[in-house]
Amino acid sequence: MSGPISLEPDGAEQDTLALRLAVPRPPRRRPRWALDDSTLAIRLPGRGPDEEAVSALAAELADRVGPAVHPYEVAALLEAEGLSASVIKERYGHPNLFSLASALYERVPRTFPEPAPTADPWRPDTVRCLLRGVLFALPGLAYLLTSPLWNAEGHTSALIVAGLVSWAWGQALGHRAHLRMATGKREAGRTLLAGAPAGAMVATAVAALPAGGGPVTLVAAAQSAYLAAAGILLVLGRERLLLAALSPLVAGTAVLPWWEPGSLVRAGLPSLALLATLAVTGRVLWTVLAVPAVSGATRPRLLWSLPYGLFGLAAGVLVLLEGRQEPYAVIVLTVSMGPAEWLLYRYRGLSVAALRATATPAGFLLRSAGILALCLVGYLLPLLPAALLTGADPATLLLLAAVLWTALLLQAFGAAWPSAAISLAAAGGAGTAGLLHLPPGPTALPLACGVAALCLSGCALWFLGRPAPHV
Amino acid sequence: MHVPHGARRPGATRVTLLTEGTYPHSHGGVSVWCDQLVQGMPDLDFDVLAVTGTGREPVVWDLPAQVARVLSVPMWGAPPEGRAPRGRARSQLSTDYEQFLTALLDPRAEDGFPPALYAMARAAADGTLSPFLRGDRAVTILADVWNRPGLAVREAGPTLHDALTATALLEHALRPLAAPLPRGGVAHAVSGGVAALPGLAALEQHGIPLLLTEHGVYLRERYLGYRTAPYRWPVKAVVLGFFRLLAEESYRRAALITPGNRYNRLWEEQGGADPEAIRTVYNGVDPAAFPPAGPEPRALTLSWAGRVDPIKDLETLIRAFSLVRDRLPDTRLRLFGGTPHGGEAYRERCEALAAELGHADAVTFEGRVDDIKDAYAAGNVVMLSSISEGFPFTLIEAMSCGRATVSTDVGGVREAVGDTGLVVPPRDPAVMAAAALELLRDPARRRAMGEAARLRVIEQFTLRQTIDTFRAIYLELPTLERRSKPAAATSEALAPVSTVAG
Repeated sequence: MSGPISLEPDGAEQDTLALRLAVPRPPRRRPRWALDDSTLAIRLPGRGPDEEAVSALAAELADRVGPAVHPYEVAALLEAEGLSASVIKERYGHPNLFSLASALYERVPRTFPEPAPTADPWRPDTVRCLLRGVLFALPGLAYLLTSPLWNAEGHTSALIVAGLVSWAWGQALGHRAHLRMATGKREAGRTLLAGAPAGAMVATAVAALPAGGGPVTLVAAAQSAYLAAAGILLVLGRERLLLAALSPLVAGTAVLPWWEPGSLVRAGLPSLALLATLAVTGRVLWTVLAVPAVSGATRPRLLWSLPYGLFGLAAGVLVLLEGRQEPYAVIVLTVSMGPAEWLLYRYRGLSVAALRATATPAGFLLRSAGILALCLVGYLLPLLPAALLTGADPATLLLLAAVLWTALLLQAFGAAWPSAAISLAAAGGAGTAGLLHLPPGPTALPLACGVAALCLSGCALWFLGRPAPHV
Repeated sequence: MHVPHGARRPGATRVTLLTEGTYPHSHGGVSVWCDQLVQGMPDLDFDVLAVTGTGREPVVWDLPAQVARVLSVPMWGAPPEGRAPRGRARSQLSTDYEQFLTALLDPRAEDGFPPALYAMARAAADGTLSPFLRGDRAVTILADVWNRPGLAVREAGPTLHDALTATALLEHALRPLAAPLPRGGVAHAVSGGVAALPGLAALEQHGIPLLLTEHGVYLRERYLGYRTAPYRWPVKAVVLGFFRLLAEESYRRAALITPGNRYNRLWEEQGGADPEAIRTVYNGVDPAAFPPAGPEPRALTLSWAGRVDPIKDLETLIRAFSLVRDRLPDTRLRLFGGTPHGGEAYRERCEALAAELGHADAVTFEGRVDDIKDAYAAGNVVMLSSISEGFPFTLIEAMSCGRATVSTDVGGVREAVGDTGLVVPPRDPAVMAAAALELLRDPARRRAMGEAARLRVIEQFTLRQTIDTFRAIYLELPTLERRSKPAAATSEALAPVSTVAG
């Protein structure tokens, strides 16, 4: 690159003059001013403009002069077409380029051609979104396979605490990795390489300390290692590799209804899946780190990722509270995270379309409210039959889902602190009520979720119902 | 990225070079020219304020000791640090910004542009401009302004998305205002446009004289560049309105404008420059570094040197060559020069064209050569087919090597060549072929033209002349009274400075 910098990194305005040559064209026919040599001789300078010749030129160039924003643009166009000063004087009788350009600009009515429609930058990758939902839920099969091998009932709490830590850590790490991705893949890879093992160790330690070692430490370590590795693959967009690595789990679980595979297979298949996940992750990181480093990049602050971690913690607690009453609801919620992501993309795409369709901020706010309602209904409606099917209380499930989606929406637009604060308040309120058996008892969770969902929707309207976040 | 470099010497005149996308992060004609200036004046102190893309571009030139520091001002990526204004500061900036936008969109309000621009500059220095432009208030103001009755832009049906897009583009375009401004010496913008922004702000705030050099015409190139941009009319009107008023303000306020050729004066005078304050300073070469190339190749050859880029219009050259070969079948065309990143498709298209015309064997892409002199020596005639040029180095280098040339009539080409080569209209293969044939068939005329060309370079376009001219300008500008008002004459005092060209 040499010369003027385009105002946007993708070079929305093309490099100077590359424009006319972007498409191969047949050799130009010679322009009118070059053809008509006979008139050259009879026109003498100083007689004023030759209106007829100028009109003919205006007609010839109408499609290119019409969209000009200023006579200067016409002047630039005429120069680029090779119109020389002598032709301007002798053929058209104008004293100079700008005089002729102004005459053409005034003569041709303005046109406002629409640029070619651009692809929706927020078009979701539907398969990937659905796959991610499945991938969030698939590891649950490992508990199904291994539960007879260890005292699952007795150690649930240790694993849940480890899971909460892993989840919160993974959310914050994922956010930081995305920030680093703006610099380069290698930088994101290094962040993941440093952060993921640390998170796994913290999570394992949190589970192992109260359990005092024993088999649960091993299970917690496996769970933490898996979550850390899977987090890396999901951030780097290698969903299919992760699916392949988890295939032993799927195969093992599929035969359970017909055949008791025995302890060795029950322990072996999840271990195989874990090892495969770790191996694939190592391989992916290796290739990412082989990319040359980008020099001189500034590191984002750690504080920026904190609210994402806090939201992860809050979401984990809320889902856990729901799961204590309705275990199957958790599976429904987990799988629904795929469609949730899809709808986040759609929200962004629809918002951009709304910006294109409105002229005033008030008009946009109105449309934005409609889009929020549409997306929420689109997300919650399919959950209703799922709740009825699993026997879960539909109100709680739907309200919790609404909290999760609106919080994710705010996060996607960088409004992470309000989203984290409201989710934490809801999780804290419902959790305290649940633990201490305070009133309002079992309705604490839906109540907290209802209030939080209202607050979050209000925030979404307030923050996202205006144009600036949709750049 | 801040590159501290040689120590500053007390007393030495300080020059702040204002560049965009060129020196010292990129190769190309303007960067060569900057390097020549800096290398040629070891007795002066240079700072470079370089507008860049990401700010992470590596410095590709060896910086001599006289370059005290290089400060990169990135246009993309994370915005400059700062806080959105509050309270009274916010309403003041809103008022100023409204005046700024009104000037861009309402031809009757253009006088409001300079004060509004300098208000933007002060806000940028306070760190409030960029956050303000990324907020809703700025978008709302634009939506209000362009929906006012009577404005042309209203006819185009501007949407809120257009307002958001235009505001974001302006936020990027104004980022150079947040750069630390020079506080002494001379500011030398080596192109118009956003590189001149810190120079204008330094003139307004600290009275630093601004020298403006234009190799091409920045404004003209913006108009052409935006014709294919994927923006709706209202967005183009705002952004190009900004570039136009910025160019006019730069032309009016610069103490001296030194276009690289006389041709550019047309735009500069139209844009409000005082004709007395425009002084053409041509690019120069060192005749010792480009000595006579010696005997011509035995097989008739047309040679070309440069970047393989659409602006060089190699397709016309290849078509012209095809016509030459119809008459002189043994002629070759050798193209010397690298293909820049992203230009591969264009090169393939040119190769395909040569093959399609049946000359794949006679047209060779030689790639980058270690010594560009070899490219000129390789031709009986050196060709230049560009559709846009300032004052091309390849042309005066070929002339210095004593080769006859055929070149297109763009920018300062005609001024460079004089009658020591043939000049043809751009994008016209038939005329170019006729000119090439004329020279290929007449060895005596080629020789005479080549000798005259070298003499012309030695007399008019030596590097020494360019450097001496700019040294004199640098030393004199700070002693002149500041051009606070448009058209305040400074030309008398500058009269003895340049003998290169008027």
